[in-house]
Amino acid sequence: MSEKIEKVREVVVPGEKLGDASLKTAEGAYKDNDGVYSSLLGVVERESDRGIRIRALRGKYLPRVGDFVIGKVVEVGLMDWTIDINSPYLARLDSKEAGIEVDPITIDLRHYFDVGDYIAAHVLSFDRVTPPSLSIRERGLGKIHGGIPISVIPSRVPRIIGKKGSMISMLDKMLKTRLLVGQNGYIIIQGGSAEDVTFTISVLRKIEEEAYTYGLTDRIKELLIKRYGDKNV
Amino acid sequence: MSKLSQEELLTDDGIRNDGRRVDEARPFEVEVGVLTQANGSALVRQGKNVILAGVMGPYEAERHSQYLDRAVLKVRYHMQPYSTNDRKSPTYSRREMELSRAIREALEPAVILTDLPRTEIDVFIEVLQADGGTRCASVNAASVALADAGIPMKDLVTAVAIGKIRDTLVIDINDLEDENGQADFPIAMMPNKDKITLLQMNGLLDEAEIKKSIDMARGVIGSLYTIQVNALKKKYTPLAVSKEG
Repeated sequence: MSEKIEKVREVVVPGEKLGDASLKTAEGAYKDNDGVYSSLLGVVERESDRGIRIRALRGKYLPRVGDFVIGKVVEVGLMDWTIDINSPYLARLDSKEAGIEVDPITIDLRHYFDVGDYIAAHVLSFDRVTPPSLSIRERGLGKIHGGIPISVIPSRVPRIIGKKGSMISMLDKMLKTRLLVGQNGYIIIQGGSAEDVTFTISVLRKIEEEAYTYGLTDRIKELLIKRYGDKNV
Repeated sequence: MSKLSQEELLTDDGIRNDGRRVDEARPFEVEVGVLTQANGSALVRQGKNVILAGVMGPYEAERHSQYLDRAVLKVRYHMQPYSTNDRKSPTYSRREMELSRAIREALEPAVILTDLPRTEIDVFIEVLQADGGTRCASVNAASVALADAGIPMKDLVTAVAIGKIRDTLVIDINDLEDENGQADFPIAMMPNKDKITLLQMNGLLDEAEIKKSIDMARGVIGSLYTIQVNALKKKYTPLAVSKEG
């Protein structure tokens, strides 16, 4: 079964007709009088149960309530932090959502998170009119101590996680580093030697680059076995 | 340069000064994603025009310039001093301001600004070499760069200038034809919607000629549009192709 089959996913550009107006549409597609059109440069997903949708090949992160994101503190206020989450909109983390009772006279929020710190958080709300707000009131959220940050194209994060987490659980098992993957495309690599980190980055870049190809999980698996052996599979 | 006569611009055999026929557009090439720091970019060659477009954004606009219900689109068209025969002053001229606005208004109907409230999208257009019809070539470059930046759009925008020489309508005029011809009529369209987003005119055309010009433009825009689409697909389809079975 070593026959080479070239499978190509359908790449569309904005304005391309995807079908007639009876189709259901999700992200990246819009209805006009006579049909359904793409509004993004991306890959078409026709089977999705929410309707036809386009997975963007480029572009920034748009926050969605409940998303796990990794953010970088860019400003410390009296009662809140301003966080860069790789989105057009800067996010806000209120001290209440960090579980801190603040008296601005006696407490300096810099003691908790300072400019340049990375934090793991959930998106609490986002309505495009007010800045997206974050929360760290759950286990495992909060300041990230150490690690190497990298950023990937946000629309390709689902591929790094894989179907039902298949890719990320394989990476967790087989890599010598630990990964914190934010839906917004920021990833923190922790632990491992310098070589392990370099290898991890190369694997992540490969997944990012080949996100829309078939059989990617198998190719990544091969790569990991080649490097670390198959005792962890 | 001395003024050329109409006969020098168009021979009795219907050949133009650069060897083209009246219904022949200049060679058109599009390269996508030529810059890595910009969020989106495109390099367009339309005849001797060489135009680079880079897109930054969307990012949160300054408080005083943001709209609560839509994004702000800003366009800056600029010509390099070495882009023309005579050195062009590098300062931002009145003409460039006007063209920036015309190009912005040609792109705005295509960009779905309401998807990105409070943000700003910047389009920077650098004319590296100019040979007539730079606003059209700029629109062609900018719309591809916007798509490359992952900005939601209803359609791409494609443009071409129709001219009149020796009382004949000609397609995609160059600088000489622009300066010495009887009319310059740039047209931009959203090809899939068949909607016009830019229509300017310099010179004189009668009603019948205007109608005919638009029909001619529609045809050329169709073929230029195909080249834009193919350039985008060529850049991104390899990402969607499987290496093995």
